[in-house]
Amino acid sequence: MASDLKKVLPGRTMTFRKKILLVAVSGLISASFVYTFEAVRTERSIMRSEIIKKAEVVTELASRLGELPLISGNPELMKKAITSLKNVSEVSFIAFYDKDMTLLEKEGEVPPQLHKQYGSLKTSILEDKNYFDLCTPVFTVRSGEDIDIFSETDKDLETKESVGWVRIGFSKASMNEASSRIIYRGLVLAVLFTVISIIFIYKLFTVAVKPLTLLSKAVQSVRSGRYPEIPVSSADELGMLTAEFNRMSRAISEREEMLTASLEEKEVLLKEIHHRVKNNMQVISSLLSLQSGQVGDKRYAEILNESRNRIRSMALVHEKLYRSPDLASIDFNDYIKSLSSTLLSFYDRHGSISLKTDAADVNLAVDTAIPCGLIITELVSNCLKHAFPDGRSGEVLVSFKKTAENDRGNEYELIIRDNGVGIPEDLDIRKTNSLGLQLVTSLVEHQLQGRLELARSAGTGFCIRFKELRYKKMV
Amino acid sequence: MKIGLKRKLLQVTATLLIFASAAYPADVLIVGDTDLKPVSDVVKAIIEAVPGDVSVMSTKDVKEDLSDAVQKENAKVVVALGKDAVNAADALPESVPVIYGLVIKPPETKRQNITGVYMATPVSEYVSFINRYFPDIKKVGVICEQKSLGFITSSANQPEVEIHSAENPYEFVKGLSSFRGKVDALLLLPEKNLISSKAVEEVYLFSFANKIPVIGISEKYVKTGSLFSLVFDEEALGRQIGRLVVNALTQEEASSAPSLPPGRFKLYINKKTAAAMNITIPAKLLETAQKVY
Repeated sequence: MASDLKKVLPGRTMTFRKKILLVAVSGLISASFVYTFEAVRTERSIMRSEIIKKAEVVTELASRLGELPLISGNPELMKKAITSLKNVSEVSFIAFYDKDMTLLEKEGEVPPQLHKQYGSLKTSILEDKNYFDLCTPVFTVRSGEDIDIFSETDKDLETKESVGWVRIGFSKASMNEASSRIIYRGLVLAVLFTVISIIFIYKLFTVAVKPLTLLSKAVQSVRSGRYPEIPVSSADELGMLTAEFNRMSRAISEREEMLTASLEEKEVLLKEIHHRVKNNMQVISSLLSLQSGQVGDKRYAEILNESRNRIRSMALVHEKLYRSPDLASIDFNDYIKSLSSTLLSFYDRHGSISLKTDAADVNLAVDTAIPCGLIITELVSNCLKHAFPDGRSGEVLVSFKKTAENDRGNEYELIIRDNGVGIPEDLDIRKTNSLGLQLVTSLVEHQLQGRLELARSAGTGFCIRFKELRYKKMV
Repeated sequence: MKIGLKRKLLQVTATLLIFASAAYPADVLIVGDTDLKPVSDVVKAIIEAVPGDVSVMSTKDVKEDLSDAVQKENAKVVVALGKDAVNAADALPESVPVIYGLVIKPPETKRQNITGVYMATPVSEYVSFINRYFPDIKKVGVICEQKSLGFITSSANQPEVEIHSAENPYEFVKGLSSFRGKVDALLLLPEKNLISSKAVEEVYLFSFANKIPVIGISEKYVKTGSLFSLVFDEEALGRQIGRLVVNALTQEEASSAPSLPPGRFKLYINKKTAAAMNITIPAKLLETAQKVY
C-alpha cells in the first residue's frame, strides 16, 4: 500500500500510524527517562538522608558507648567499644579523641583532616565521595546543684561535661550499590515501559486505522473495477465514512452495470449495422454481377465488374468490422489477405501470379480502412489485369507498415508492387482517363491526405504514405 | 507547664518574703535558691520555726559579697541553703554563725562557727530500714568516693555493708561487677562525681541482669527503676535547721550543736521493680509510702 501511495503522493511518504508512532515513541522515551531520572534522584536523596540518619543514630550510640572508656582513658575499653560499633556493617572507621582532639584509639583508615567545628561541642558531618565523616562530642551528664540529685530537676539544670570526641566514618558503599541498582532497575523499567507502551500504542493505532486501511484497499479495488463493501463496525466518523463509501461503491457498480449493458446493446446494434451494410453491399455486388452478365458489351461488363470489386472491398471492411472485437477497427493484414485472395479468384490468376502480403499487426479504423481497401483493390486489380499480359507469371506484393508512431497520429506506408511489364512511360497517373487511377489519386491525396509515389523500375511500384485519419464526427 | 507555674508561685512567695522583711533589720538571714521548690519549702519551715525576724535573699543576689548583706540586715545568724550559698557564707567573718542546709554532706571547711543539716540519708538508716522490712537482703553494696569513705564508714559500721571506692563514673561502673554474687542490694549514694547519666544506666543494667535491686537516692530514681528510696522531708529538715538557728541565736557559737543528718524521711516505692526482682513489699510500707510507682 505504501508503494501505491508513493506513486500518488508527492515527496516522502509517511503513514498516519508511523507519524503517531514517531511522536508517541519520542514522547514516551523522553517521559520515561525524565521520570526515571527524577525517581533515581529522589530515591538517592531519600537513601542519603536515611544513611545520614542511621549514621547519626550510630554516632549517638558511639557517643554513649564512648563515655565510660573516655572517662577511664582505658585503651582496652575503647577497643571494646570500637569492636562493638564495628558490628555495624557501614562503619568504615572509628576514632576516639580526648577533649583536645588528640587521637587516643582508632580502627580503620581515619582521614587526617579534623573537623573544624569541634570547638562548638556539636555533631558535625563531612561528606566524602566514599563516606560520611561524623564527629560528635562525648559528654558525661551529672546533676548541677546538690539539691538536684534529690529532686526532679530540669534537663537545663544538669551539667554536661565534655570528656572527648568520637569520630565515625560511614561508608557510602551500600548507598552507591543501591544507587546503581536503582539506576539499573529504573533504566530497565523505563525501557520496558517504553517498549510495552509502543506495542500498546501500535496495536491501538492499528485498530484505530484499520477502517482507513480497509477503505484504502477498497478504493484500490474500485480502481481495479471491483466494487467491494466494507462492514461498518462503528457509528463514529469512520463508520459514517465507511457507510458512505459503501453507498458510493454500490452506485458506481450499478452505473457500470448499466453502462456495460448499454454498451453491449450498442455493440450488438453496431454489429448489426455493419452486417446489414455488408449484406446490402453484397446485394449491390450481386446485382452488379447479374447486370454485368446481361450486358453484351465486354467493356461495360468490365466496368460493372470493377464497380462490383470496389463494393466488395468495402463490404469486406464491414464484414471484418462486425467480426472484430472492438467493432471500430479491423486487422488490416487479415483484410489484405482476404481481399487479395478475392481479387485473385475474381481475375482467375491463381496459377500464374503469386500475390504476397506483408502487413504487420496493424489495426485500422473504418475511415482509413475503406479508402485503403479501395486503393488496394484498384492497384492490385491493375496489376492482375495489365502487369502480366498473355498469361505471364509474376509476383505482386502488397506491403503495409507502420512507419512512425507519435502523439500526432500513426504514419503508414502502403506499397503495391509487381514485377510485371510496367506501366507506359508516358502515362501520367494524375492525368490519365483511367477511373481506377483517378480514384487512387483522389483517395490518397484528398481522403488520406497522403503522398503517392510511382516507381517504374522492374515492374511497377506504388508507394503511398499517409497519416492515420482521426475519427471525425459525421453526425 | 506545671513546673513553670510552681516556680512562678515560689518566686512570688519569695519576693513577698524578701520585701516583707527588707524594711527592718532581721536576726536571721536566709540565703538560698528560692526558685526551687524544696528550697522554698525548707525556707518556709525555718521561718515558722524561728521566732525572730527572718530575712530571705536569693543566692544570685548575694553571691558576690554576702558580708554586705549581713551588715545591712544586721543579721546575727546566716542560714546558707545549697552549695553556692554555703560557699558564700564560708567567707563571712568567723563571728557570724552559719547554719547550712540542702547540701549532700557536711561542707569541707575550716570554719569553726558552722553547723547544719545535710541531705544524704545515712547508710545506717537504710540498713536498719532494710533489716526491718526486707529481711532477705542480707548484704548491701555501696560505692563512694575515697574522700567520702570516712563519712560513710562512720555512719555504716555494720557488717551488712560492702563498701567500694571510686574516683569517676568509669570506676563506679567497673566497681559494680565486684558486687556480683556478693551483695543482695545496691545502695546508691548521692555522689555527684560518680553518678552520671551513663553510670546510672549501667547500674540499672547491672541490677536487672543480676536481679540485685537498687536502692535509690530520690523519688526520680524510684520512678526509673530503684526498689525504694528514703528522701529527707523538707519541712522536717527546715524545722531541724530552725532549731539550730534558735540554738545559734542563744549560744552565739553555731558549732555548739553538731552537724546532723535528716531526721525524718519520705518513702518512695516501685512495685514493678519489686515484682521483677521477686521481692515482697510489706503492706504497711505501701500504706506509709509517700508514693508508690
